[in-house]
Amino acid sequence: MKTALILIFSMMASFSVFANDYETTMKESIEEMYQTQEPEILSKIAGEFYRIGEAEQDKWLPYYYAAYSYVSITYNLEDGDEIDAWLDKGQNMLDKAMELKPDEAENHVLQGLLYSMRITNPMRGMKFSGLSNDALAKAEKLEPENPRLWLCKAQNVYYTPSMFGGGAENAKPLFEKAAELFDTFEPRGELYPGWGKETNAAQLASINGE
Amino acid sequence: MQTSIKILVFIFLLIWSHSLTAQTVVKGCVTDKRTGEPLPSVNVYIQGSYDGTITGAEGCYELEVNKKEPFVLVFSFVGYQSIEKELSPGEAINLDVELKESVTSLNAVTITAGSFQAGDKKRAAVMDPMDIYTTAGSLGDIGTALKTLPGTQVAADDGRLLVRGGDASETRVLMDGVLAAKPYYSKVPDLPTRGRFAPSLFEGTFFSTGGYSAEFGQALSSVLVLESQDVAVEELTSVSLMSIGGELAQTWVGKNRSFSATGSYFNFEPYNSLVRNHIDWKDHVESFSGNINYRQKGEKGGLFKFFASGDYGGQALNVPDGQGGLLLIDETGGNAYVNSTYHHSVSDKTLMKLGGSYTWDDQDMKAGIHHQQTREWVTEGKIKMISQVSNALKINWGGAWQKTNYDETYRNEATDFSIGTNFSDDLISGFAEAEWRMGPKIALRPGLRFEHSGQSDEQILSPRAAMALAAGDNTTFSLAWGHFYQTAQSDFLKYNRVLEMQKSQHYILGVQSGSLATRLFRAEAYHKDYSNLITGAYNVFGEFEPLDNSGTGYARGFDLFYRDKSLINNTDFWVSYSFIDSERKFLDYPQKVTPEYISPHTFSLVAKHFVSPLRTQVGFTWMWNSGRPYHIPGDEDFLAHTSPNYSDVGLNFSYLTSLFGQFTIVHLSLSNVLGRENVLGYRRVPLSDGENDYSLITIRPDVKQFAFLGIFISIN
Repeated sequence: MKTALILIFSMMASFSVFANDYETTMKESIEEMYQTQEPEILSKIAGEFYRIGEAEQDKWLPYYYAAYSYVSITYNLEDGDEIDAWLDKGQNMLDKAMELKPDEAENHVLQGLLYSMRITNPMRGMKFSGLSNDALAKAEKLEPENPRLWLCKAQNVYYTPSMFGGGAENAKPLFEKAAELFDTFEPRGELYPGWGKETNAAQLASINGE
Repeated sequence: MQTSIKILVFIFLLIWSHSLTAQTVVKGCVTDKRTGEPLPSVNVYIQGSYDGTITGAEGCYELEVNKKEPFVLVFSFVGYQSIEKELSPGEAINLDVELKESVTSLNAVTITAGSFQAGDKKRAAVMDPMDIYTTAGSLGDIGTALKTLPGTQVAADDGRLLVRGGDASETRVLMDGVLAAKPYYSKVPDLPTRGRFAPSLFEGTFFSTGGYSAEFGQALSSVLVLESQDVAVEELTSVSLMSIGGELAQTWVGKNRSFSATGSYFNFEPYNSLVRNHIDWKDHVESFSGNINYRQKGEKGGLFKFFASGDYGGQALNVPDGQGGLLLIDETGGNAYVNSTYHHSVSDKTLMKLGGSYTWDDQDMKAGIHHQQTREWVTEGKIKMISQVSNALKINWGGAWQKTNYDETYRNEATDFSIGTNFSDDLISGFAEAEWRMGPKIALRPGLRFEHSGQSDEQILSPRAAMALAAGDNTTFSLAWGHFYQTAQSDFLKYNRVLEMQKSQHYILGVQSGSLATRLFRAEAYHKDYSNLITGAYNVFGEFEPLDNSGTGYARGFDLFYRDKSLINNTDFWVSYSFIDSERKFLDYPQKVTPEYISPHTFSLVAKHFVSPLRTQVGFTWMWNSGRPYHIPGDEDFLAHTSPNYSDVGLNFSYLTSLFGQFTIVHLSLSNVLGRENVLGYRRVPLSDGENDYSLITIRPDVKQFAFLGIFISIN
């Protein structure tokens, strides 16, 4: 009898956990997202995050990750119009995250990243590098020691021609600062964004190797 | 006991697991309700849970649902209205869904007949706003860049838009849907004029070469609608240093609003002293201008815009007087323009657009002993309502009131004879138009326009209609027809108040295929009938004095356009060709002939190539047209001669760099690189008494070759 009850209770418990555990589902999806670069899978995961966001209604992280998934898709794309189409979706998700938590530095960092991904041709550089830097400046006011902020700042400098104060030389100290912060940064929660450390290390290594 | 409980648990588990695996499989496809096209990446999920999926490339989905109670399935997609379906669990459910575009993003089979759009998000677009800056030879002038599109005349001695057989007065320019009465700087004979508005003020351009909507009137041939920038998002200071002047602009940004101010000064003297010039300048072109711009976003998509600009400038030059001597033309003028619009959502389905503009223009023109001072005030108020009645039907309606005041004083400086004239006209108009999507592949746009002129006491109705048929991917056939009216221009009306409105009728058949992102092809054939054109004769002051509306004419031809961004790496090019056959009897023409501004064949090629390692965009423009008719006084036949062909190859280079750590573009533009001696045409001099050789003036470009160097610095 006892065993049976335990069995039943544990089953019911596990069912409810399985069906509606925000933390677990988020964790799984986040993990899955970090492990893929396939546009199709990323777009599916973005859809998952969106559904979680719609079901939870008051959480910004699902929308944040939906936006981040869409932005990730564009890393491996070349066609400007295709990139724009994905970033439009990303922006749509980020707007929702931003609305739920306007003073979250991570949202502004992602906004900065999204704008910089829009620089698909040099003629666009001026407008979007300006917008990107503005977004990052907002993030810096909110959380000056955010490592992803410094990674994005470093990347913006890295991809700016040296004559505008950009280039590897000028970006290096920023990557180094980001690296330091990645080592010490304590995310405010388990689900909080954790991307960028590897990218930062790889870029720093390639600069040092040059 | 133990056993029975075990059995109970077993049964319970059985039921439990059954209910657990009571899987309902829902599958189906999602399509666009209007176009019938499959929609990929649509989110399909169970309301209130995380369970769901997205549709694949073919718009189809399959979802397993573990529910024993009824559940709600949501279909959601950006830019579309979400759909919720209540379902009861069962084994297999087939559910195909059609999603409607949300009202705000509704766009569809676009009627492209006659229109060229430049804008980021417009489906009918053939040009980006950036193209206006980067088209070689355009020197940042909107009109000049648009002249590389088919249907327009090159007319290098004019600068204004001459469209499909129409003269310069037949194009109406609007800013945000409201009249811009004096869009060009004042024109002196044989010299091209420029547009007043810098392309940087606008984020989109709608240029129609015929068959346009009932919203637009008072234009026989063409409308050009400039759509101004929205609220700026970035604080910016920009400094422009050019070989012909300089400009300083500053933008301030606040929450949901922005303000900017621009001041500029142009002086052609240093430049003219460096190059060989066909013009005998007495006083080089000099002008001051400035503008301010305020934008504020309101709630629910409300938007308020205010724009004001002013300029003052002049020039003086000698031209041949047709009798062997020289005539001094001395022109100074000022202009002020205010334009304000307000957009407001009256309800979920209705958008109201209010607009007003005011133009003040003061020109002082001396030609030898003739001194003319002209002042004009033009005010327009306009309301437009856009109602999305249903998904398939949109109704636009509205009205406008335009008031024109005109005052002119003429003085003969030799005899001190002086005469003044003035008049005013109230023009009231109303329009209604439906945009009806009859099916996924067919759209119809019938419209009716009413106009009443207080001056001529005329009431006219102009019916318009356009239709689009989608045929396959990205291919649209369009048809357009309409009646178009235009009152006589002010400097005609000052002599004769009984003139009626002139009329044209357009018939257009076109096809457009492809997309701006890759390659786009467009062909259009048209026929235009002109009636009620103004005829008359030139008077002793060399001014045209109209007599009546007995003129007629026609224009027919075809326009071809091909643009390709994908054929050659990093290169974007477009080719335009226009053929036109047009004859008119109007002005002082004794018979029906091809007017002197018409070239039967016009060709242009524009190419842009970005050289990444040099961070330089190289632009190339070749414009060619066959000769225009001209008249030798004394000839029996009117306009019986044809001037030589015109050809101009322009090059430009835009180099992206940095000055003092700020983003800088260095722009060099060269016209007529091949150094060709172009003859644009020959002008008859109506002043002449005797009919001798001198009364024919050869019109050449003002400078044989033009070099423009500009440095544009953006500080933020």
